[in-house]
Amino acid sequence: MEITIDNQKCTEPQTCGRCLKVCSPQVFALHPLEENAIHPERWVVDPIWVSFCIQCNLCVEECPEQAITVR
Amino acid sequence: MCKWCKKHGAGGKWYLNARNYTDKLAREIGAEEYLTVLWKNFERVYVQKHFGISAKGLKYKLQLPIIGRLLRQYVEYKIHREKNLNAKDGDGHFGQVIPLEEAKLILQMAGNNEGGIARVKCVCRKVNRNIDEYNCLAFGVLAEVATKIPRYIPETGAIKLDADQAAQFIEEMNTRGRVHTVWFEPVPFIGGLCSCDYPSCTGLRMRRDFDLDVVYKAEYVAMVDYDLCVGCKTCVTRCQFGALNFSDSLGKAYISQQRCFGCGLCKDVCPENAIQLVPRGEVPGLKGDY
Repeated sequence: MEITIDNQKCTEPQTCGRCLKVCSPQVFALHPLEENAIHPERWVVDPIWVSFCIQCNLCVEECPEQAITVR
Repeated sequence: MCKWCKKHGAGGKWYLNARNYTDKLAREIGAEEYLTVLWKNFERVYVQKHFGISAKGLKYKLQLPIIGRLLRQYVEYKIHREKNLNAKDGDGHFGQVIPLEEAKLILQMAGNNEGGIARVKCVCRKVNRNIDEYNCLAFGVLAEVATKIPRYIPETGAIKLDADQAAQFIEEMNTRGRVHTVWFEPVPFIGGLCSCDYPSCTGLRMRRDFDLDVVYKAEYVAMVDYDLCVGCKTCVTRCQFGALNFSDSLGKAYISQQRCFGCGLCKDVCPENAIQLVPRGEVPGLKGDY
């Protein structure tokens, strides 16, 4: 089981965040890329709780940038 | 009484010990420096690696025969440690579920600090669902630290509350079905009171899905009085812990005391007052089960 997010395609997850809301088992986490940031410029989505993925592929369908793959 | 009450409760419960809210204690343990680092990196707590191990696939890792047990011990040790804290990892930041009545007592104590009470953005909801919700109450030093970081306050500025306004706010949260939790940040300083739900709250997720003691069960447990329960089902949507369901064969609400976290949300809506919160310590089979 592997979920990959193409950060070249997913550039502004903090304004989109559709995968975070659509995922029933709540697999994803949104966080700033840089440490110690007061004004984080770059946010990324991480499939951190991948063990909970049920492979429903809703995130893949929901992503407007086709940035998510589930294998 | 849980072990943190023995250590930091001055003979009572840890969160009812006024000393744990004071600016003096916060200064003694360097809470301001800790909180500044933690809140700048809060969203990243679970994505950092420790000795090359990340939280990714944590469920699987914890299930490994020997490594899993060692990993659990290490994580619990980090969560609860009181010295040499790594603020970026959230060391020393853990909490307990509390009923509404005690949450109100807490707000009276927290409102007396210099920093007062501030409503700040819930980090968990941002991280887990990208929802901007200003429903975490920060106390004292944390109220000062968190409101200086722009992403935790509304664009219109920080929301400061007095104790009565804060009590009104958590009552509203209770009506909406949120569990009240109180947090060491870092232990023994008490930094805030949150309104949580599962699984959007990372603490409740860590506890329910991984059985890691990031959040302890409350000092109470809910019991249904079957003489009073009329089976109206008002309470059944309120449980965040999978402890309450409607038993068709009994025609009444059923609560599993093994699963109950003692938040009291079911009791708060019961029109017949058929649900009581009983101190955990008075139930022999549940004593010490936090």
